[in-house]
Amino acid sequence: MTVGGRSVSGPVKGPETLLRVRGLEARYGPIAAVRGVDLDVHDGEIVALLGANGAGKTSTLAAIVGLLPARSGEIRFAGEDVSRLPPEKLVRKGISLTPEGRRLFATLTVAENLALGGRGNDGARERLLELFPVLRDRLYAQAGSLSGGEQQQLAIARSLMSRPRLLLLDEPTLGLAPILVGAVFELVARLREEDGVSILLVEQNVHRALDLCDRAYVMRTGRIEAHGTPGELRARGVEAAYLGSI
Amino acid sequence: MHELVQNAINGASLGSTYALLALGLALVYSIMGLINFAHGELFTIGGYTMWWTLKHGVPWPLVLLLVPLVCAVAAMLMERIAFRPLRGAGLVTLLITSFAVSYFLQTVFQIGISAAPEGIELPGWVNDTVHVGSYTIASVKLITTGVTLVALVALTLFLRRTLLGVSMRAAAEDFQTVRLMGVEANRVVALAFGLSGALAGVAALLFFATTAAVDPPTGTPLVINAFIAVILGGLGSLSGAVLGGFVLGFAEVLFEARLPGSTAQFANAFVLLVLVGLLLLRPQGLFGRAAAQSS
Repeated sequence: MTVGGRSVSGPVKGPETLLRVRGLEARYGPIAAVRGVDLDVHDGEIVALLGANGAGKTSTLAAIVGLLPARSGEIRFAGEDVSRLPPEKLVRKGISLTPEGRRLFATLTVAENLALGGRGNDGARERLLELFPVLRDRLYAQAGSLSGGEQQQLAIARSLMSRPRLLLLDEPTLGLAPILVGAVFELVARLREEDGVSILLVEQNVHRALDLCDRAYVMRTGRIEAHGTPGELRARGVEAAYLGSI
Repeated sequence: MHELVQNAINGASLGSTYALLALGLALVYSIMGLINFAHGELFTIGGYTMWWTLKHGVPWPLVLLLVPLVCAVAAMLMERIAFRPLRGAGLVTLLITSFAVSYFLQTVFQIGISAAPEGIELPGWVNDTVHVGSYTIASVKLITTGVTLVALVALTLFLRRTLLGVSMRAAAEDFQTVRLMGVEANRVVALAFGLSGALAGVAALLFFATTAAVDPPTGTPLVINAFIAVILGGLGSLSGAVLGGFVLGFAEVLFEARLPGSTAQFANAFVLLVLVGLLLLRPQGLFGRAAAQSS
């Protein structure tokens, strides 16, 4: 049983472009947060979006899913133009965002948070409780009463309830203890391997993100400054140049 | 003791009206951040619907269904026409719009119906009384309290047990994130207005069954009291709004009945004095969260 991606049948295709973003611009009032971003996520890829604070990473994700209405540019998902779709429609197409800061419904129970994520379809829940066993014991606890690590797991599980093909993960390790950071990275790898979910990951933890991802984009002041495989980016000294040493 | 029980029954009856109106205000506020002062006109529409249907011989069981239904539809139209185009606007813009809608509707009632009160031809049984031991209780007051409790239980079950209800509670917490779950924003907002309208309709049934007359500004003082109840309960808290409504109802009745002699006419001033005191002790309201919510 898989959470997300439909299993590929028939002739083996090359890596399909799942998400294709061209010339994406978005603003908060007068402030241009995203200034012409091009990026691709191929089917089955883990792609990291890196950059210093305020570089426009979160805004890029928000613009992709339509949370920032003042946006322009082209967004294609599985070949279909989704540039104008509001967030509620994009989830149904198969793009799910785990927002920065988790944004759980704190007064709702864990089970209710999950039910909302699947819009009443509980088909993915068993598999997710297998991936996040800690949630099984806390199903009827208020989400706000969970520990930070549990909350992050719930936030990810909630976005997976809709069985997305593409998961946008915004800072999933922010504020977590080091041991939990490792668990989140392992989970991201597992989601791709076992469930075929493609992932676009925004992450402060540059070294670990580069260890995990297939390709990475580096943002600076709203633009893509560099992109390539982790090896290429490391060879170009990107870590030190744009991200500061960690 | 005898008088106190009578006061409690009257308080529960008046508190019911406030609680239903306050709950409607809180539902819309918690989702949209809008304090809808035109909520009072939904209540008045309920009164006019009662007046018109009973005058035209519609059987009363049907009137009981029609009034909340008409109010719910009116509320959803209000949202669609006046508030949806302003989605995302600031608090002040929404507030002023709600005043505009309120005055507009009152003027429509004046021109279209009459500025003078219209008497509602209530069925005879609303004047019945029941005798329990040595107590004489107007049956309509018992019904009022009973209906309110049923409406509150039904709403609670809806909010707890159905996905749409859970979506509404989630939307009240974080409207943007609920959209990320694939829940249609417009549907949740329209539903919140519809429910608040239906609650105003139930409140109207209960209120006009005792006052038996409706005029254009009827709803205004009531919605202001309901707003006080919302603040007392804690802005944004649904159970707080209900509790605030009952506290206000009881306080009003008790002061009116208990203040000596000519001071009774200042009952409302005393009620407000108590509320000021309560809010000094708990500025966030009875059920409100102490810290400001993140937006």
